[in-house]
Amino acid sequence: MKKITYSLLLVLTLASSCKKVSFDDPSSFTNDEANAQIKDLGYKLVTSSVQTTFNTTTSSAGVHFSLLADQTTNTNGNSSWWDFANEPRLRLNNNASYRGAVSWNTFYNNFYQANLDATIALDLIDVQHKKIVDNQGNDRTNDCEVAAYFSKGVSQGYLGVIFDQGLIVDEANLSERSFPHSYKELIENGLRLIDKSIALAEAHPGLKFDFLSGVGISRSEFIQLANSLAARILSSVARDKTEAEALGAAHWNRVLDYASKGITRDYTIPTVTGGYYNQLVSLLVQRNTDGSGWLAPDIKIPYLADNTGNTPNYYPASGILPPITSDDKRFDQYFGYTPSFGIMLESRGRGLFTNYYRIRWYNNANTLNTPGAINPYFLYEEIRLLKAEAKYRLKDYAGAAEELNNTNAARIAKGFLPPVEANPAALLSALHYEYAVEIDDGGGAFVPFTFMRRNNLLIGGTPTEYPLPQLQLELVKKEPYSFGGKAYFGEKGASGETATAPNEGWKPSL
Amino acid sequence: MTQQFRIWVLALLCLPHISFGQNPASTINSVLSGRILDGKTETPLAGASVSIQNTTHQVLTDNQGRFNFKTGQRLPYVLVVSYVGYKTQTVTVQTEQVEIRLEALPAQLEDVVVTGVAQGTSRRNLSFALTKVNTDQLNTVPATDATQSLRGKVAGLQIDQAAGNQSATVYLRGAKSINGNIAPLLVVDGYVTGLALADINPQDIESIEIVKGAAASALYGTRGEGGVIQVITKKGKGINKINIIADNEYGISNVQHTPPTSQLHFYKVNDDGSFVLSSGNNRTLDLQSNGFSLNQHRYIKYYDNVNNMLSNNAYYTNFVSVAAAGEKYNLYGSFQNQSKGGIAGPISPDTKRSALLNVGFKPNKQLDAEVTVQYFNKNTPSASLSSSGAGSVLYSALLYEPFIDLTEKQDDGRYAFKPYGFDIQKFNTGNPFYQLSYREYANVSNNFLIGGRLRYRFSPKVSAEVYGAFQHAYGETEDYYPVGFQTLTADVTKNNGYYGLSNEHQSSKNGQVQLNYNDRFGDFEVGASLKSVYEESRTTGISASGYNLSAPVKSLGVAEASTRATSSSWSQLVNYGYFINLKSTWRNKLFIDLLGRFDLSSRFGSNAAAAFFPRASVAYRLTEDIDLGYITDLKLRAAYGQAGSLPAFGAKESQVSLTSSGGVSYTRKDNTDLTRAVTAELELGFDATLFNRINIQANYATATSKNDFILVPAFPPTTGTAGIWDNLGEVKSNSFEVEINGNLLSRGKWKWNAGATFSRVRSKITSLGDVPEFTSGDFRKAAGISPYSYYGYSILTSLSQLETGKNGTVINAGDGTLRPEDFTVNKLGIVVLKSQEGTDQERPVFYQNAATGNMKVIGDAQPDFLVGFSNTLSWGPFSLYTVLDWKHGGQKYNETVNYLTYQYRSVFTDRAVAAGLPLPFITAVFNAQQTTDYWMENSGYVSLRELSLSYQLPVKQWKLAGIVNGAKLSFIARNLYTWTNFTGVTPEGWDIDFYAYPQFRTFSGRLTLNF
Repeated sequence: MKKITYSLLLVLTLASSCKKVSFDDPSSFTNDEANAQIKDLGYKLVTSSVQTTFNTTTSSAGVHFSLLADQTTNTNGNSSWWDFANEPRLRLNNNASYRGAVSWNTFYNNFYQANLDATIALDLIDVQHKKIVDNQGNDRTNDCEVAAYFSKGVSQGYLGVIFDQGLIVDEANLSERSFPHSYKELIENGLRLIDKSIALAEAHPGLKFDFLSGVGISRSEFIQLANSLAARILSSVARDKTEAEALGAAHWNRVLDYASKGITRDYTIPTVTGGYYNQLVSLLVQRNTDGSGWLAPDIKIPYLADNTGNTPNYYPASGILPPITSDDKRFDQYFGYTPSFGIMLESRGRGLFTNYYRIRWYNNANTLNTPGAINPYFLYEEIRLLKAEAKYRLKDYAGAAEELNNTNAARIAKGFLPPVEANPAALLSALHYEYAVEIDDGGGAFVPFTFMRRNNLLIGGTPTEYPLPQLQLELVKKEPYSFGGKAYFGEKGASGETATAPNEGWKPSL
Repeated sequence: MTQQFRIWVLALLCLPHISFGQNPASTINSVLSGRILDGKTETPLAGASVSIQNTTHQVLTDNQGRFNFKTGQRLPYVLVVSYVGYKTQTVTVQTEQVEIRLEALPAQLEDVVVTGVAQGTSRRNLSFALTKVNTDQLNTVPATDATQSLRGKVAGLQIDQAAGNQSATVYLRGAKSINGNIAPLLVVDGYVTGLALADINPQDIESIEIVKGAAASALYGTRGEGGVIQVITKKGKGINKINIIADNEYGISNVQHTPPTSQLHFYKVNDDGSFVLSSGNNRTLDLQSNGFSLNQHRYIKYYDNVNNMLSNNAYYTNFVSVAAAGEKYNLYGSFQNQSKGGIAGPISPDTKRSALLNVGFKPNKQLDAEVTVQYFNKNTPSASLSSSGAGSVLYSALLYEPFIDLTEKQDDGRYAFKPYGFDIQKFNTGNPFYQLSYREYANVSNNFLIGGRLRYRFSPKVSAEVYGAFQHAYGETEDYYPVGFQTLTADVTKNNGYYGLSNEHQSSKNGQVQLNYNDRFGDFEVGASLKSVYEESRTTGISASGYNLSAPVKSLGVAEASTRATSSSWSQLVNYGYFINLKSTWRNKLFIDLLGRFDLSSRFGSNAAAAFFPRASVAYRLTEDIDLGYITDLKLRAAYGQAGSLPAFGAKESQVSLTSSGGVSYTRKDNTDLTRAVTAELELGFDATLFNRINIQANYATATSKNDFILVPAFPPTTGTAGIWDNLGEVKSNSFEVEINGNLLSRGKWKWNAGATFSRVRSKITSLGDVPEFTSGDFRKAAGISPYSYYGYSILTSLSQLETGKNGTVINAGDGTLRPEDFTVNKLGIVVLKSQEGTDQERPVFYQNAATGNMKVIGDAQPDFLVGFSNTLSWGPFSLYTVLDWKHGGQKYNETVNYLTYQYRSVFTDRAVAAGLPLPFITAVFNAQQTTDYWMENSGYVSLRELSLSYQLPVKQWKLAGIVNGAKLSFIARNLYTWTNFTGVTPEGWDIDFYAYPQFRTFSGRLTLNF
């Protein structure tokens, strides 16, 4: 009996120290726990949405657009950059395992995520009629509503600018898996949401926009910024010159209207630890150990700026080009010369070489992700260019020239360039030049690319938009497709738009 | 390689003729006949060796244990009779008829195994396959860690050491998942804990038992899908004796193999051979008159950075053990200290210390108790090395051109940050010597296990057992970059000092309670066991770092506050298992085993926490009923079982993460139905013994693995990027294995024990559910292909690869308008366009398929088969031991050599330039480092893993017997040589080859003293 008692006691002792198979992970929330326990869940959702939106509008995935726009050159296989710089242009490889897929995947995943987070937050406000508080318990419902519509609008707008089609998600519980909406519908709905955000902000004098870490955006700044982004998005609808012209006066008046309510000075954001920084600019200004640029300016920029006309539009097969001379005093402030080719490989096409690197926005830390670094988010000069272009489209050539020749315009005030003549060719040339030199990497993910596409300035064969990621197409059982390539000049997309640039670009296709 | 293999095969094939042949006597002076019997059972022993002492005359007994002898010797003479598993007897015979009884060695009386069975079971009675590797096989050349111990010794087991400073991965049989193998469950002395095989000192291992598939491992339920490896550590043996072993080994390590590199450059040179440099330190291509071919030149200064960096370093092991046993106790204690010098001077040696104490106590016939205490300490500075960048070894040494001396020193005597030539080659990677000698890094872990077992026999038929074990590991990593540390481009996280400290606690508990019943009913022996198992493990970690140090101390207190970053982690696992095992033996020839295990686990959805794992096996010993001549034992087996595996912690649950910037992220969706991935396996096989001295085991296993864990691709528009784990997919595997081992020769002073293993495993994904095909890393996951299928681009190397459409134009290459006759194969064996051949436009032709992004399956990492040979050849006091490991076939993406081509450092570059091809051709073949079939290589190899020559020192002759009982001097080589056509860093491993820490070999001398 004793033995049995001892045995039982031993077993019971061991059993008493056993844990249950069902237990809570104290280090993270499940969805239900988050809904029940995170009091400021709505605020945090909006915070995530806003941060994702800001980060993605200046994502490093924009390097690919900078390469396609010949703003930047590269012969490196990292993220398949070389494929996007290469000439003649290649057809986009939309396979999920393609290294360059990081570009469309980043925009697709992040903008849809930002849209969804904001949609869930709006569902709390508009459908469930819940009050949203921050972690101090303050009622932030109005602030979050403004920010959520802003994020949704910008995200959907950017998706429309970048991809040929998509899905508008404005309901939190939508289960549809298809892509029924064209890029135009995505953009139009995005602008509707931005308009709503602006209207709400205008009706909410106490707007507190503190969703970016360490950055406070005043109500007036926010309204200007929202209008600026709306102008950028709306101006970027067209996939070619014909479409841009066909959009008509109403469209360009709308662009002008947004731009007129846009920012009145450069909107820059200083880096705080763990906060926003402009990944795209950070990469494009980065230098190699010998001072040459890692993602250096394409020869297009010195070609446009050279006042002698001696700079070729392809780097020559031998020799080293000397520094250019330019009438534009900004050139040497923005770009530096080095005889070193850095890490560029001759075997990948000497025509892709450059001797320039970026000075503007560079800091000694070689990254903008360092406290105190200044990040351009939206340059006032882009507003000026949008206004000028809108007037140009409206055939107000004098008005357009007036914008560009304003004494405060960078080309005059900093560049000391002569006035632009009020004729279409001169205006278009000046706009192209300004986008290339003044905006360059400061226009976020897709500017100057979208300016060039709507003016047929992209090299022939350049894809004007991204197809949807192949894996996503497979999930909805849709055949993969792609754009771009020398054999596809002028190719049309699903909505009849030009999906591959015709051979009318700033230089002829090889 | 082929030649070496032939020699081995020939040796094995010739063996029977050598060992069993008889030399005819020229004169017959006597005829002797007799029988050899088991001393206890009186059963005849077939295949026993009978020889006359000091002659070469030897015969073997027949199936009835009989032998006949005709000899020139005259009676009386001395016979030497030996038989595997029995004590060798020396008998003086006087008459022409003799009957000799041999005494079985104790260990052979009952070769009991404990893995896959509820109770210790004689190996002869098993009804499923089990391989047991004993201490002789493990410790003739003790592996540097236990993961290497099993090489060449177990069929169906694949060991891959992808990097020289890491332990190897060990896998059994085929893939159980679309992602490949599932790691086998490690059991140490009956305890399932957080210990890894690499933790255990091979010198402390008595044996390792391996059950390879679900047909046997169902006993381990939820965690048995990958098979089971059980390590049984040494116990005290003998009666009232103390055995002390002191074992010291000293030697050197050096690199076995490095990829070959380009020896030439193609830049313009001055008269003195130096580079012609333009401003900006640009070199100029030395083009030939055709404008694209290049002239090759030798470097006027050639620094062998690889050999300068990868030098000889010390290796040593000190080991001492004490073993003792009495009637009521047994004790074994040991300590090992090991130092493995890194292959590069500035890296401190990796060190390992381990201690083991096993105590057994048996106060009476009813009760016995065992306690084990195991402790492990490791310091692995080599973990700081990366496969690329300034923290790498091979990467920089191979990629920097040899006119740059990476060992160049600065004025202060330290390694140069930028040696001469850095700005000429313009390769954006810092001098690894600089970083390795400035950065301070430590990676220390301490791990201990305490286990106890109590067994009580209530009666001869009923017994109970209780097991309990607690294991705890603590690991700490410290990383320090002093203020002033230079990087090629500014790095704000390092230049002004960096300090990082992280640690992790991992603990596990294991409890088992078991009740056994054994009885005999007539010719039936029956056994039943009921068991309950509890397993718990928990891991917590914290990591902190900061930079911009205000003082040169290793403290986060001096890091700028805004740069400090912290993170923490937590995970837990709780499993319960309950099983019943029924087994029966009929007349020692029919064996039946039935098992059912019921499991509960915390890793599964609330709707699927419980699962049932069945097993049924049967075996029949044919030789009990039929006389098969020289086949002295033949047991046929069939077994079926199921076993499962665990998903990652938290996979069943949704997860919401809070970001440090104040946001929230839905990172995972929940799946309350997430259930076990389960493999069902049918295993057929036999165990045979030839001549009573050669053991053969053969198995065929077919397994189907279902409910694999797949992170289903998200649909971001409506679900966000949060994924969901689901049970999808199915993988089928077939395995064929043969193991042969035994005493092949025992003749005078000569003895030869040999073993051979063979296995061929094929695995195929048969379903992905409704998930589209996808690529994971470099591997394609699709129904109908191997889980190890490389997916990438293809450079055509034969015109037969061209496919044509209806109109005769080529549809898988070119622009769709070309015909096969428009293509040709160039000097390097690569398909090019005829119109481009010999011009500056010559480029490789790539496979094209718009639907797949021009990619396709380009290789399979599965080997065709694996073979292992182990041999111990003894002559008197000398013993030669070898282990050969052969992997035939299997492909591997050689990204190392591919990337060498980026900097024109590969041998391919030299060949292409010498052939006059334009540089863009080389770059096109490089293909921007993307997975491309041109860089797929056969990763088969034959490797001489272990070689030792030992000499048993004549301590008696030297009159040292009063001090030592025995002394052995050995010269040992590990990883001595590998024959392979693979040109990367190592042919091992199924994943890509990319500048891993190279494999190294060790040469050492070892002195083993027995006191």
